[in-house]
Amino acid sequence: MLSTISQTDLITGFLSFLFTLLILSYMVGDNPAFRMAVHIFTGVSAGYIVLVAFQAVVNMFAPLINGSSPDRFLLIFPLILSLLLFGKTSSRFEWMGRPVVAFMVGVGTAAVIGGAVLGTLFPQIMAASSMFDLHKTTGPVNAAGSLTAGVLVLIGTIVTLIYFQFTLFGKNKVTGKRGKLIGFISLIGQIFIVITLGVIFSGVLSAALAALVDRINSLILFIDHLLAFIA
Amino acid sequence: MKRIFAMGEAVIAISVGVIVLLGYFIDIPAISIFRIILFKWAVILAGVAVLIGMWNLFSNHLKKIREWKPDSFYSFTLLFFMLLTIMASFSPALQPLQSGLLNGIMVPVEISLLAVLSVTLLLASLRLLQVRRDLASILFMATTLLVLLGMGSWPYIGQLPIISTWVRSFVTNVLAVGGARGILIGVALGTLTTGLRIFFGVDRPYGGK
Repeated sequence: MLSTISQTDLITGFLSFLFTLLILSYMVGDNPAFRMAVHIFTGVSAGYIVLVAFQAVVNMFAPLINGSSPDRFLLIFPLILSLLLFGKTSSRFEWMGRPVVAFMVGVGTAAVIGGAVLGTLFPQIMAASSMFDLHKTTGPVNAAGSLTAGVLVLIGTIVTLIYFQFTLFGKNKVTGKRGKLIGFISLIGQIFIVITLGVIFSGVLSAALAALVDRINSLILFIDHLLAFIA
Repeated sequence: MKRIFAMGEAVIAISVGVIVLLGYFIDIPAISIFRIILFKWAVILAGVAVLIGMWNLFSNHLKKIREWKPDSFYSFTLLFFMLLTIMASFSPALQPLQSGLLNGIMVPVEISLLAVLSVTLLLASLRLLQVRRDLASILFMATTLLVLLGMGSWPYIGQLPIISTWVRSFVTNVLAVGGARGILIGVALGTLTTGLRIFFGVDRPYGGK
């Protein structure tokens, strides 16, 4: 008789085998088996998200019971706001949740602006300028290479940004078309964007192919183990 | 009355946002402390919002089951597995199910969906060349092919001499970096503009007009 652990392993392995087959069946076209597997997956994921969110919220409100007086006082506000947010579940009391959403939008927007400026704009500008820092390179060949690469990257960055500039000035405003110079720069910008997207696409494709190999390998392994077990 | 409420919501969003934003750029202890408190509240509210979102998912599928349409069986399955996952965490008798749900359903389905994506992406890229045969499409496919060719070693040949060492490196480390940096800066500038529109009260994504 199988031990409890191996039984659990066998059931998990069988479930994994079954769901892999159900999802891969999409390759022959959309079918009820695939849809069923996706709905089961959504159900399990939703349940998992509920558990994680519930545990996080309970943990954050825990100082209301066992925390100090200032902690309790500070948690009264989010408690009230949370109760108001539940108004969003009903169309009648929807208005109660709106100030809470406004609060979240305010904090979220500030966080996003801060992230965009301090996490993207400044680091990207610094990275663009650091390619021209010749102190970091070793030897004249490296310095020339780094400088050339820096110039090409800078040109790529500028022409890409110009491609996204859709405001028209002067007589172009009347014709609704870009000028010859801007049009030419935009074309180079488009080439840089296409190359970037091609590189990203190849990365995603290779990751997806690795996943396909992994799944096919897992199917073969399961059949192999099952045959060995039966034998 | 509605107008006053809408103004109140805008005042809340702008004032809270300005305090949090100031905390990023100005080093005043009082503002920094207040910013952290506001962040903590926002995190709690985000957790509650997730629970409300899940309740919305639950009630919508429950409504579909009540109406009993041909697709309602899918909704029934979804709710059954959602409740089973929640029960498996709370009920000690069902706890052995947790491993099966995670390793038998969630992980294999996630990887399999990524595997299906490989076929979908391949078909889509072939279709792109059928539908649009312009400079951008050809360059896109050529870049993809070049990067994939230079990515690893091939049977019998190993790594392709010039493509693996020079061409791929030039495309990914120079040309693609320039484009990616432009896109990233563009996205950051777009985010900044959208954020400022909210702070100036031009956009009110919380329901006011």
